[in-house]
Amino acid sequence: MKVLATYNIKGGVGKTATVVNLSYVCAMEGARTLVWDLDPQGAATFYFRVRPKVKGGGKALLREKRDLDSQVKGTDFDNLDLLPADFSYRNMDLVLDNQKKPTRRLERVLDQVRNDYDYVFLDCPPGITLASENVFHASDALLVPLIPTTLSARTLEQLGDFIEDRKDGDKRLRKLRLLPFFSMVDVRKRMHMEMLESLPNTSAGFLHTHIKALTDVERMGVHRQPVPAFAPSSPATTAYEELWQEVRTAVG
Amino acid sequence: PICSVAAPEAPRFVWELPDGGIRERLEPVLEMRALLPLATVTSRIQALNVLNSDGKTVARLFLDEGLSLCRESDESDGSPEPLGDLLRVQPVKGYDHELADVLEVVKKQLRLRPADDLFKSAMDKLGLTPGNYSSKVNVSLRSGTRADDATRMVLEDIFATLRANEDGTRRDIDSEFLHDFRVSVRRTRSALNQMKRVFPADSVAHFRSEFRWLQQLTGPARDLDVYLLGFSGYQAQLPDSAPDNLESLRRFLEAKKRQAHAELVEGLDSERYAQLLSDWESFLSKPPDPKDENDAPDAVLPVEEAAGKRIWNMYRRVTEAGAAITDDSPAEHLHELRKDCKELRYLLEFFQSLFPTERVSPVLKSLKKLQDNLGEFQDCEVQSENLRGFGREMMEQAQASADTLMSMGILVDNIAEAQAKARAEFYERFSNFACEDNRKLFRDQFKRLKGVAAS
Repeated sequence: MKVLATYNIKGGVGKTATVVNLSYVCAMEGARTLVWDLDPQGAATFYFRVRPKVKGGGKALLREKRDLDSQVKGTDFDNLDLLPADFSYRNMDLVLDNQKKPTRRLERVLDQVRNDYDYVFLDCPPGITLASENVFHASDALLVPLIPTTLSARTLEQLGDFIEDRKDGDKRLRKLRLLPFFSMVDVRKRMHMEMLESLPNTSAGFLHTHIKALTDVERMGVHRQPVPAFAPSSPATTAYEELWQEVRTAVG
Repeated sequence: PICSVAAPEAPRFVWELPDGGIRERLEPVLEMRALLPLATVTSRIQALNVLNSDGKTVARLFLDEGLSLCRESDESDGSPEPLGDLLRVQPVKGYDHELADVLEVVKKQLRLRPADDLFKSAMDKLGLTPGNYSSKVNVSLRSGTRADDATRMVLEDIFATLRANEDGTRRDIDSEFLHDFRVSVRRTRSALNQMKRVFPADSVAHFRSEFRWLQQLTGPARDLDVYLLGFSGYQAQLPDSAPDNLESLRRFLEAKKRQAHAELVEGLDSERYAQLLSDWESFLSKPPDPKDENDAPDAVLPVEEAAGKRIWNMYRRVTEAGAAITDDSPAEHLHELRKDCKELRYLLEFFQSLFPTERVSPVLKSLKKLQDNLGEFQDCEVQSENLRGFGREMMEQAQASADTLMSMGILVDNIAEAQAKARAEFYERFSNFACEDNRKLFRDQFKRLKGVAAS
């Protein structure tokens, strides 16, 4: 089972669209796939038309008072399951702080489904918190969507430093792949095109595929479906398919 | 589903499947057996999604209209047989309450009755029960039955297995049809040989020689199957760089196998084989003739007595011959012992139902271990001899490179080593079988019966 998290310190960068579309493409290839919506705003949950509710809240899951599996919902698509968001996830840090080995809780909880899924996608809230440290520890790769601006370049650097500083104390982090890619690219903006040229050279795992700011991605909210499900021939569909091939190859 | 796999077409063997959950689960079940299409089921499917107020699918309904089944067998005229209509309700994970509501509507409002699943209905239509084929002899005999009647019943059961495997042997669907066919022939010969006093000698003499012919006919193809089944094992014995050296041996064996199989089919198509089948069928269905009793001294004995006597005799023969084996004994002595063990094993299996299972099965277990050891020894003997022969043949036909011959040399060496190991282990396996507990068990269970008969 490979665990992939979409993550960015900054919000509003196309994180949830990435999880919803990549997990869909992954499941269509036949891999058993689970999306865990860790963002209390529940956007991924909304896109899959599931109600944002987990019995007992995040607390019951993280303390293993409730099986993960009992809270999983089948989506409308084969091989694709969802663990919905819950509003209580906003207090995740408080719950985690009271646990032994607070940065490793999420990894332990995911062990429950290790044989049930080939890929788990974690959709994470922005910011660096105790919850995000859990995500780093539990994941094989971080998919980092970046809008091609100088500010984004800085957040990538911050994230890199944060992980680098903790590598010595945490073996799992040494294996964590950082996979940044450009998202919401606007080809009419000069700065976007310049960043597309220069930034990838600064980070080893930078993915070649980028996702343009396309209306089909925005229309996901109207259709409440992944783009490839309602617009199979959209350029956005092709882009997510290519992105998935790159990610899958990178995590092996 | 627990797991699934995308396959371009129905696979024949498990090794044709891509790696993954399905293959892992099927490997131990299928081993070297082929998957066969038995029937095609067709229907017009209407799929309906049950949505909640968010437009989320919470259950799926599939209406199979005009389900029908077409048999794949050659005898079938291809006309579809109706299986009726079916409404399938498929749950969506995490929506149990909604599923309960849907089922309520199906039962109460639509008034539909629960049906078997489609796979089971199709199997019922075909008259098949999954997992009910076994090559084992399975006859429930009653104590006191005349020995000739009971032996006929055993032979009938073996004959049914032989017939069940004939078509697959002919078409070479997989190696196990021929294997089970051959085992049936060997069991038949063994029963005729061991129970010869229950039938008049002149009534079975012909069958004994004809079944010997049939066994010889099927031998070469089976031997080659064994080499081909074990081929990846051969390759694994070679250094990493060398497994390809054996490719010409594989081609050689495959060509030989095709030839052997063609000869086997010719034999099965012959008048001689057809005659044997019809003669044997009428022998098996013939009611016992009172006159037989004069020519067959054990015909009217109760079967448990006749069988017990034979089992006790074979047991003594095996233990005496085994005790005489030393490091200096020639390989043929071990080979003879192996054949005797097989006869004893068959006898115990044929008449198992007459004796208490808890007594027979531990004996069978230690006998099986001894047989495995003798089998390993004998297989090594035959294999190294044959590999040398294949090497010479390939040389003559200019089919073998020096690399291939050297790789075959490594195999012959390894086989000699395995054979020495088997021989060293023989003594322990034998003494486990010939132990005092087993001797007592054989004496009490089988010799006693003879004593009763004499008194």
